[in-house]
Amino acid sequence: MKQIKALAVAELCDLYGFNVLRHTKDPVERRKKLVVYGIVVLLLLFVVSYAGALSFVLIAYGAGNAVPSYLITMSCILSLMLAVFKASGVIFRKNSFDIISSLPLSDSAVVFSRFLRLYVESLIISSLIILPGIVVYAVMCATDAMFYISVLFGMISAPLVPVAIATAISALITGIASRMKHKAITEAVLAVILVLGVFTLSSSVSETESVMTEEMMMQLVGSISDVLGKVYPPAVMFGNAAVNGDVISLMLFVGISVAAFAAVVLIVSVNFRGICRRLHSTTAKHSYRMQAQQQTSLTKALVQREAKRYFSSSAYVTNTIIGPILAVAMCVALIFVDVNTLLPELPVEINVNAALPFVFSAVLCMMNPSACSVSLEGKQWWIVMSLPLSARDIINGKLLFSLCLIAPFYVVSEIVVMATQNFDIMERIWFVLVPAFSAVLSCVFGLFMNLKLPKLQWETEVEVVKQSASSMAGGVGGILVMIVFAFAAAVIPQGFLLIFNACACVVLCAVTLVLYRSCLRKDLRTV
Amino acid sequence: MLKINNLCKKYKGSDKGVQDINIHVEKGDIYAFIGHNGAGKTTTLKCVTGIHGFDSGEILVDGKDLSKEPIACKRNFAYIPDNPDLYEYLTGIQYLNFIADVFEVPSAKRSEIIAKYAGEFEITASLGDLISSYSHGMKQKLALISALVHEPKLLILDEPFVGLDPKAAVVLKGVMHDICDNGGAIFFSTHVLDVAEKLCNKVTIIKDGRIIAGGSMSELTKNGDSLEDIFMEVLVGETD
Repeated sequence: MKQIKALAVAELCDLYGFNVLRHTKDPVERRKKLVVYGIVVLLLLFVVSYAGALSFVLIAYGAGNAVPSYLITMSCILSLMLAVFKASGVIFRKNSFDIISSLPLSDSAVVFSRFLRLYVESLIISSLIILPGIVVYAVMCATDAMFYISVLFGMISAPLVPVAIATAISALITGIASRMKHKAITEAVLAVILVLGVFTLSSSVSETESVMTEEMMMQLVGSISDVLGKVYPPAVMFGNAAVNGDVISLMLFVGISVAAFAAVVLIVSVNFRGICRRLHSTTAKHSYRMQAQQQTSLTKALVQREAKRYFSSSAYVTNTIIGPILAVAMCVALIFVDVNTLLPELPVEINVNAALPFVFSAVLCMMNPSACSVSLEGKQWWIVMSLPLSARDIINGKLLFSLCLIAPFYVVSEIVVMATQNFDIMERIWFVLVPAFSAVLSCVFGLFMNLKLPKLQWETEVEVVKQSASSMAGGVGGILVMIVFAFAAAVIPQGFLLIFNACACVVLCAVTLVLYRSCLRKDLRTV
Repeated sequence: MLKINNLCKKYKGSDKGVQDINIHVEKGDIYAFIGHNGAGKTTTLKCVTGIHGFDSGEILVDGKDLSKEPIACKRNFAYIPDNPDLYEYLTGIQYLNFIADVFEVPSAKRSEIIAKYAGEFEITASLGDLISSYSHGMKQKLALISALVHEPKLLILDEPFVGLDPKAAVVLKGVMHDICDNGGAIFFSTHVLDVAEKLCNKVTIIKDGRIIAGGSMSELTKNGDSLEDIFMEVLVGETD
């Protein structure tokens, strides 16, 4: 128990970088951290408002009884999605493995303390979803003591199952990858398959819901509990406990959560050392024979280095390749689905074809690799800084690689769309130009954000790729802008569309140029 | 070859840094920079190599101002930090070729230099392996070869002998002498005072960010005192 306590303190003391904020004497570092926390608080406010508003709407339509189950399901799905790609980096991380291995600590204590970190992170997220909704429910509906007891136990237990499932999936992927020669690529491919699977699954659920929306609203409300039971059965148990005061349901919910968590901790503990050893070992052949070397251009050398860096990290690949893959999938889907039929009847006329280039751009540019390319230099930043390279060389190398990565997906998507869609000539031109300009902008914007909010000190790549402010801002910022453009393009009168699209392209180019110049002016020594 | 005039560098939010550093490294010098942990050696070296900016002062490399012509200055020197974190996702030979490409070293020349030093440091067979599989010493050797691949006029090294096996340390000393014999210079920090005394012709001692002693090795040790004696003497003297 003492081992677990000591390890847990070490794991949790710098959760979200609070320990650094507490002890740093560098005002710049402190300011950067506060900016990051500001962004996170804004996102959390959005989540809190959404959860509260959703509960209000459900209660207003007479589905108040489904609120607790709904909130638990939402929090569990979000916890699962966030934990599944983090679990491997947290539990099997290379950093400190040698030191931990040499200390008199049991594997189960190490695994449990790392689980605890995932659990606490998920608990924070799930509390932010559950609490506002529950407060709305408590105010609007009659509640008793059992309700509050259920909510308390339910909230504490809620993250256990998603964290356990995320770890099991992550351990499985990592375990398979650890046996392969190209571990990072294998892990990335498996993770991408998983994400695409989740997308396919969620789209099939959405399909069911879209059929239901055609029914009367009250019928939809009545079926919510059934849908939740299918998506996440323990949520119904929690709902029974909170709404009907069913003690057995509460005990079942808590029992299942704890059992799932304990089982996964036990299984991972048994295999922990083996997976870590295989994952962190590298094969050395010692068989190189000296041969003539070839000189390449500086630009090619820098881009090749970026490519090697990119494909060496499964987290980096997984996080950034999903957008381009989905963009291609979207274009293929357009062959089979008429998007006009998916739209509900709205009071304004919607021009879907006009919005398509922007929607496609938003998906294509999701999570651009340049948004964490500087941070991922980490401790090796000294190399480029001490070499005779200008800021322009370094920045161009990073941008060129990001563009090279997106380019094949862009080209394939364009070919598919041009060959299959009945667009007129102008629609075709905009579908070529808008995504092209957007792709360049997203690369430059990502790099700009990374230079503004760099994170060179990290333990695992996951911290940079999934949790850093630049990755969030650089990856999501472009999407939001594109969505605004898409809405505008969809509702603007046909006669103004040419001017709107031309202006949009000019704006995209101008912003790209301004941001690129700002990047070039940045003193990279201050990163 | 290297002139550091009145260099001052303070870290934001901290008292640490260096003040009024003046060091002149001439062609042919093997110049040692010694001091206790946290004295400011690495900070000075990082300012000289352009990794850190500095608040005031002047750094000239082969007559060129580092602040005004950083790239031209960097073309003349090579730097190896105390703990070389190299690109672990590259193989040894890929890393060397990357550095050679940055310095635009022609194919034939780089092949010759890499073959020579990889042979001397005995890591030829490992050049095809990922750097992540290298030991600390092998990384140090690879970093040394990468520093030598463009035949720098000035070699700046931070604790270069840490992690090297005895044979590699001998090879490195030979390389240092070769560079100086060919009109280059070496500027390095070390804690190993015996090595500094035997290898260097000049030395500077730094304490708490300020230079407290320095000069030619022969002058400092002319009374028969070892460098270790002098180092302890000036440290104690400063403390008193």
